[in-house]
Amino acid sequence: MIRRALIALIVGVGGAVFVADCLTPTGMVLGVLYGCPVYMAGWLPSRRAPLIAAGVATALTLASPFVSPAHGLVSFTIVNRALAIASIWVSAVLTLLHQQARAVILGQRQELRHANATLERRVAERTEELRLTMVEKERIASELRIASQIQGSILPRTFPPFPERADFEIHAVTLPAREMGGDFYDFFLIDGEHLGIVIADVSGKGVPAAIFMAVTRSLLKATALRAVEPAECLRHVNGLLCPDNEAAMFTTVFYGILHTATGELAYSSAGHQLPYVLRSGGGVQQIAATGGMGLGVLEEARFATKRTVLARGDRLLLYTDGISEAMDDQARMFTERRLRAFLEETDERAPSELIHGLVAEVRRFTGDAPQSDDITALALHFRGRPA
Amino acid sequence: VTEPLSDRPLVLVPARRLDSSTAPDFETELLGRIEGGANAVLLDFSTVDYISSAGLRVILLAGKRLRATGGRLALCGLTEDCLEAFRISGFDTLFPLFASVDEGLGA
Repeated sequence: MIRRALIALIVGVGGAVFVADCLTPTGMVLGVLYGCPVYMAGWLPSRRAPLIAAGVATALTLASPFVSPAHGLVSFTIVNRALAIASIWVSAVLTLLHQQARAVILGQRQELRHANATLERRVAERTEELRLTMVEKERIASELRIASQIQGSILPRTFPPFPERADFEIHAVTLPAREMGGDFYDFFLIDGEHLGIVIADVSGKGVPAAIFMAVTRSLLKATALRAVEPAECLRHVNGLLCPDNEAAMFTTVFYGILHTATGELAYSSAGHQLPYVLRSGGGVQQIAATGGMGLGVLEEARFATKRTVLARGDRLLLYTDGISEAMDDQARMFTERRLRAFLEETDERAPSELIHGLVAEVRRFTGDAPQSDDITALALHFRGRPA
Repeated sequence: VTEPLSDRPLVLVPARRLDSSTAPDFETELLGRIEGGANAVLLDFSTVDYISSAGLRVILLAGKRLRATGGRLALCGLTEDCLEAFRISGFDTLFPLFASVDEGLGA
């Protein structure tokens, strides 16, 4: 539609120039005005249009002297016609160049539009991918929260756990570095006079450690409640954990049985840090090593039971390396030395205060550094039977 | 068993800190080398400042894989802190520990 109107306009303007050219003396360079329709022909999509227009204009320029009523000098006519034709073809060439330049710009514009469309599509795709990833991440985070709650709930968390018992007091805490931890503590009355206490650390952290922790904790408690000696208990659980342990996960465990009537503590360590005894009269000692190896490492590993006696008022601190190896932002460790120094200096008496004081001390040391490992501690205050 | 390793063992130097963040890379590298045919591996611990239980687990895993194929794993040059971690966990009884790379290579 537009194309037809444009052709009509070009023909109209060309015709008008022809009429004017015919009406004026042939000596006038009116043919220059043909440049207008030639240029307008450049608006048509065809690359040949300006050339066709120029051809027609040339023919009309040459024809007009024959139909023109006014005649001038022949030499003038020839020179002026030649000038007009030259200008027509210069116009045609300029129009063609212009048309080309416009085509290039149009092409680039189209490319740009295409690129924009592609970009928009990609952005839309990525946004969708990201949304799905976020949904998936949120789902996993939600499952982790639930799993973390379940993990928290399988350890005894009510303190004091045995309010009816005046002969000992116990408190424990575990602070996982991630949502789920590989550390755990446990305590249970095997009978009225024997209290089992456990602290353990699974290799690594996060979900794999948490699963291994849950298995180990269940096996340990089930075995311990059958009132077996500490070393025998660890040997039994090790025998259950070792076969098919493809991932080579392992747990270091300290297991002790306190005879609440006498204060005698029978214990065995499976590659775990040895607890400290805080004597009621002052002084801090680490209890003697028993050898042993992490549970799940070696089927034929040997474990030994040793005994020590807690006097009335003595306290026992079980801990994991999340305390001794807690790091500040310079990767410096809290160390056994600082732990010991804290225990020697603290005047906190109650197990809960001792543990809160210790965790606060570790936090003071690590400052803003993210917690590098699970932190777990269990404190026992042996009071003995009232005299 | 503390006789030096023979058959030109592969000597690997772990990261300065072997903890939960570096252990996965160490595991990939070490197990990859073992799968690639390394039958005797000597881990040079002289520049390792710290090893956590996650790092110990990788060494245990590598030891198990090598033992299954008749290979051997040994460590050398352990710093005091690392040696303590090996002692506490009982791992010092699982693998031969040498003072230096030369000793480990039997030079």
